[in-house]
Amino acid sequence: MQIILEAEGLSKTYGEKTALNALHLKLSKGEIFSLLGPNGAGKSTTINLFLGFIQPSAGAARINGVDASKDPVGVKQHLAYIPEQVMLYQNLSGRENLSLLSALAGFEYSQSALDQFLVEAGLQADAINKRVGSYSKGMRQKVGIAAAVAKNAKVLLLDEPTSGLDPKASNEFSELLLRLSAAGTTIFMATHDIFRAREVSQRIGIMKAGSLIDEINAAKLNAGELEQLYLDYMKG
Amino acid sequence: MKQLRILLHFEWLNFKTEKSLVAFCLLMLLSGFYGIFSGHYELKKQRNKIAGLEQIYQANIREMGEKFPDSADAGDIGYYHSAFAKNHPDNWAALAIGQRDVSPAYLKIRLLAVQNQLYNSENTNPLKLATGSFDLSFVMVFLLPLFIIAISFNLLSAEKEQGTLRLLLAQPLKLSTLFLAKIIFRFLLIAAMVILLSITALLWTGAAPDLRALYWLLAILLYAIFWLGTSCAIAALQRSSAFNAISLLGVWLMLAVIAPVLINAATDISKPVQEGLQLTMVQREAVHGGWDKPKAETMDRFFKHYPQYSNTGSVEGAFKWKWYYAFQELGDRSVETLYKAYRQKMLDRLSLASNLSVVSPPAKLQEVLNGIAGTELQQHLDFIAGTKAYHDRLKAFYYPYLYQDRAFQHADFAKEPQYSFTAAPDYTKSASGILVLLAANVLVSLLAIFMFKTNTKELK
Repeated sequence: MQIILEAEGLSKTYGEKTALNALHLKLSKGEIFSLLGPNGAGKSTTINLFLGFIQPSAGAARINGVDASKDPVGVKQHLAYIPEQVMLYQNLSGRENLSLLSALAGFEYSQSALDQFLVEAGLQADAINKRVGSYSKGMRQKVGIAAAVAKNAKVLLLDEPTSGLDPKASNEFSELLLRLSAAGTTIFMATHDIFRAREVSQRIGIMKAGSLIDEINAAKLNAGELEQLYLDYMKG
Repeated sequence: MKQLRILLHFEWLNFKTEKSLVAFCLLMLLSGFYGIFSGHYELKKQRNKIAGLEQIYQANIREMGEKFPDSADAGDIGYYHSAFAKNHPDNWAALAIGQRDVSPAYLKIRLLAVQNQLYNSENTNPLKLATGSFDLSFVMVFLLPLFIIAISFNLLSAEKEQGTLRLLLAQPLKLSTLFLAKIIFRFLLIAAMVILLSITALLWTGAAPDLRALYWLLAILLYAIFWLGTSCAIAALQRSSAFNAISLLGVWLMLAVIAPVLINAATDISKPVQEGLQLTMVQREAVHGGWDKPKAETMDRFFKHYPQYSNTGSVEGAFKWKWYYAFQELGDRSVETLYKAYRQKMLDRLSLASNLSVVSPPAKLQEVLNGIAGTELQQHLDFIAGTKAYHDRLKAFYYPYLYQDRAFQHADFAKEPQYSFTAAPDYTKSASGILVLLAANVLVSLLAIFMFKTNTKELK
């Protein structure tokens, strides 16, 4: 089993406050892992550590063997990041935004190749050349996905990707994740959406106050059971 | 390098679609064009005045011919006839009017005591003087920093606030590369603006594209880098756009408005020039007192300076011009020491103000640009000194007629000395000013790098 994403005793403290406490995690190629937890549990901190945006207080965050704190630029060759709100350049088109993101990642595509990535990510062909300012959240997310595919990312880091999406868009998004996973992309998703997490993930982690308190095999619980388990943890 | 090229391309794409940025650029260009027009117009007015002097001069000569149709006593001519010391502006003066709006473009000179003639000037609206001239140097010194602030106050914060920064940095891209691309793009935009306005100014005013053009561009571009560096230092703090804008406007207010006022105040306090008033009063007393002094005493003192005229005839009895011009001369000589002290004090003040202006890049740039255009106080003082020397030449021309009792013929006007002054650029002072701007750049760049390194270890 090839380990693509790995957290080894990963911790982050701000003064006396512990944002993340010794996280140990290994994700294999093509695996989808969801991290559930309330606001402030440490989900975004984990993602920021993998992105190299912040430095760990202890431990290491590695993607494809590259330590994010030691080589924050190199690690980004292997990952793509989709935040809760994919914010793009409003005055540029979806194609121009994708062209910028993929060019920065070292891939300069022809116009037709860029359009194909966007269409495959689910963007309507007539929207490709429109200003992103007129896009919905779901459409912007599709540009983000297209950028991940265009840069041939091994890992996709998702931070609350389905919040604010309507059920249809949310469903399309889940299907897209499954397709990417099948193609070998490892997906790490921080979310509040228990239903989607169970639907797409192989494993689900529950996080509380900076600590990963449980890891669940998603196939062993239905949505209701998962929700109850989550609520029980949050009460306790 | 490749990423830098990509980012520059996208900065350009973004710029084109950002209406407020394009509007700022147009506003800056319009201000620049107006500054060029306004400076050129002011200079044209001065040139017209100077050009009109020849007509006045010739009319005066004709009048002398009518008044003294045959020949005249040179004393009458010296009293009723005026010549002009002309301070011709170079075309460069249109770009930086400097002291030319407060100092006279010409001085009307008669053979009488010269000191009170040197400080004559036209009445001007003091409110207009307080605001200064809206020339291209004003645009560069005061408005260019505001333009730079307007296009770079949100250098990083805009990306952060619109959420694009995290997405960009999720690519294999260093924050420093992104920062650098933004700085380079803005510098290119500013440089294009400065070069376009400067070339337009040269073509419009006919200013010679010589070494001065190089000094002009170098000084302004260094100044632009100083403001860009200041914007970067504040942007590196990773605070909000509002914080950056207020901080930068505060720096602008401090350096461009408050510091020059403080420099003036410090100069006034530490180098007061009382000699100006004293000089005028003493000279006035000396000249008017001349009427009451014994004529022989006056002439004896005069002959000590002009022994070659000591055998001129007696001045006792009825009024004689010889005696009149002798006490005028002695009036000037009585304040010679005060005049030298006054000039030295003015030069000392200038030097002190120049030294103090190292704390204010705007004041320093203004000094450099005025120096290039030949419109600094120094150049006006040179004109005053030149006019005083011109008065000496007039005396050397008229005194032989007066004191050797030679009749002044109408045709002799053709031999009367003339004086035209055109200020030379002060390359030495401009070069030292440019070095000060360079030093300010080094300081602000080091500060920006330090701020960047200490504040961007983690993305806030």
